[in-house]
Amino acid sequence: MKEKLKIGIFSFTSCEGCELTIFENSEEFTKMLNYVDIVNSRLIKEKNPEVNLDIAIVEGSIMSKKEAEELVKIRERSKILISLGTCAGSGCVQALRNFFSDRLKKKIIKEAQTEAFEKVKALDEIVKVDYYARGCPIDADDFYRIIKLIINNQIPRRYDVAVCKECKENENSCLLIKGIPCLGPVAYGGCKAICVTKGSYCAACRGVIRNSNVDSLRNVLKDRCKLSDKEINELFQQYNNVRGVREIKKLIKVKEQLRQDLYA
Amino acid sequence: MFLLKKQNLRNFIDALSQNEAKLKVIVPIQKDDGTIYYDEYEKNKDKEIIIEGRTDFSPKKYFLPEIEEIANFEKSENEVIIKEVLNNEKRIIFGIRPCDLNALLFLDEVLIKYMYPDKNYEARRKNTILIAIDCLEACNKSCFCSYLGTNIAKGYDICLTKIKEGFLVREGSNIGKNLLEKDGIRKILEKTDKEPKQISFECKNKINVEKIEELLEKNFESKVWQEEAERCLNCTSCTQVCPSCYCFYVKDELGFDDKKSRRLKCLDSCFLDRFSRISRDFVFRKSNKAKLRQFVCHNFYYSLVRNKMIKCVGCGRCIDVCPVKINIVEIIKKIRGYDGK
Repeated sequence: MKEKLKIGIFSFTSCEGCELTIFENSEEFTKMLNYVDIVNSRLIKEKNPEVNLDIAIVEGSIMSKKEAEELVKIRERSKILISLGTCAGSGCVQALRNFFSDRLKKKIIKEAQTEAFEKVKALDEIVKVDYYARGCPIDADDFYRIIKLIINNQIPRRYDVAVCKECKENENSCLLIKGIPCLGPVAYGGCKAICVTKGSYCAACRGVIRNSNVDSLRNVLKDRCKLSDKEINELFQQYNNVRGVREIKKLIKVKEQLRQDLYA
Repeated sequence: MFLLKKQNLRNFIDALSQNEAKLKVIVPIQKDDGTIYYDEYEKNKDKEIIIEGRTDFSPKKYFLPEIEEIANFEKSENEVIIKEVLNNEKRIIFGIRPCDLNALLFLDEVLIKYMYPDKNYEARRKNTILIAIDCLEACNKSCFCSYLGTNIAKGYDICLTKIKEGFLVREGSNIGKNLLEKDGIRKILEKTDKEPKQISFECKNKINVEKIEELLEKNFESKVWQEEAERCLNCTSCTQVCPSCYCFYVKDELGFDDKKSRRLKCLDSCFLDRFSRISRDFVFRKSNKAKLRQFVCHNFYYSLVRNKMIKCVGCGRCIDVCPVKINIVEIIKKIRGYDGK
């Protein structure tokens, strides 16, 4: 028998719902325990020692310098870092703050959260993230797929398929054609298109696909759904707050800058 | 030739579902949101059966499921045991339209007759009884089946044609003949001398497929591709609803314990990067232009060269489902317009 992998699960600013989703699927979770040791988890363990890890699973977005420093420490002592959920991947609701007016921001940050960053950050703006389990909350099957591949010494691939594919699998009719706003065509799939199937719209909670044709979708939202530019931005901002849309290139610069700041 | 009275349609389907072999009957029905799709009759007894117009989704899923297990493997002490998974589902599909029947004939050409037969597809085809409904007129503004000859039902077991009193029922195979002679079903039908009219209608969406393979070969670098593909979202809706799209990829789904790992065959789409990804991360068909060109050329050019059939059956679903209004017929028209310029 191979030696068990050491896993740590860490939470920053989030609801910890994603972590709960991991434990909720008890069948897969107990099977996973044959292969891994959970050495660190605030939710299920009393003692959480700081040891070197094989896999660090991190959820939540980074609000303050203190959190950022802690994240860098986690990164330094783990071989693989998995970003868990939308908070860690693209900001989620707490990062709606990024779009507050300057006056309000000042009041909040200066008076309430003195240690806080002016902008809420995703993990990959600060450290290197190896794999992403996406969604708000995550899809348990999607998460265990990544873990299984790592345990079997394989490399999990980015699943850059739009939600539309799974939506058509479920035989839904297209909301955009009916004139209802939906971000499915540019959103990462893997969620089994659960929102649209259950009668809602896709808000791209799993993030916007790299290199997807966002400009074209903006035109569709304008033409078919009669949305204004501002409304389209609001739609995108519900879950994808940290980098607007498509600012990956800039992001790398930010990451380096921040790392320098932290080590200085 | 038999006559099935209008009010007896439901009795006919009930009789079909009470067969000895316990075959499940699949019928076209409507969802609450208006989508017309195929589902089991047993589960949807209270719903109306849609016999007119095109269905929004074809019954392709009963022949090429989205995800299907083709093998599983287990690791014992010194060896790996691989087991092939074979399929033996049996069904009756009621109300399949001529375009979807023709799509199945094309899939037969590719997946059974051409080089390597797909065992599971072959088994499903053999185990499915097809009851078709003739189209008497163009069912919507985007279909163009009459120009491809796919508006006429072929390869069915039983075919229904709508007339004033109800339906004319004719058999197309021995399986169909035997089914119609069964007691429960024969009771509902009346003998008649009437013959269905010759089907001849013209669709509104005109397409000219004369020498189309030459046209597309000549215009491989046409500027039309870029113009049309610029707004493509790569959402894969068109390939998902296409009744004759069959491209797939194979992946291994690993279990936690080395046991119970599965090899899955999943439907793919040529609009995805992963479709042409090789050597871990090199995508050789990356631009939207190349992806759209692949889709159109496979439909009208490659299939004609390789399988001697046009893959497209002219149902027009890809046109209706596209959020950015990319229209396969318009593309061909545009290329013809630019041809030689």
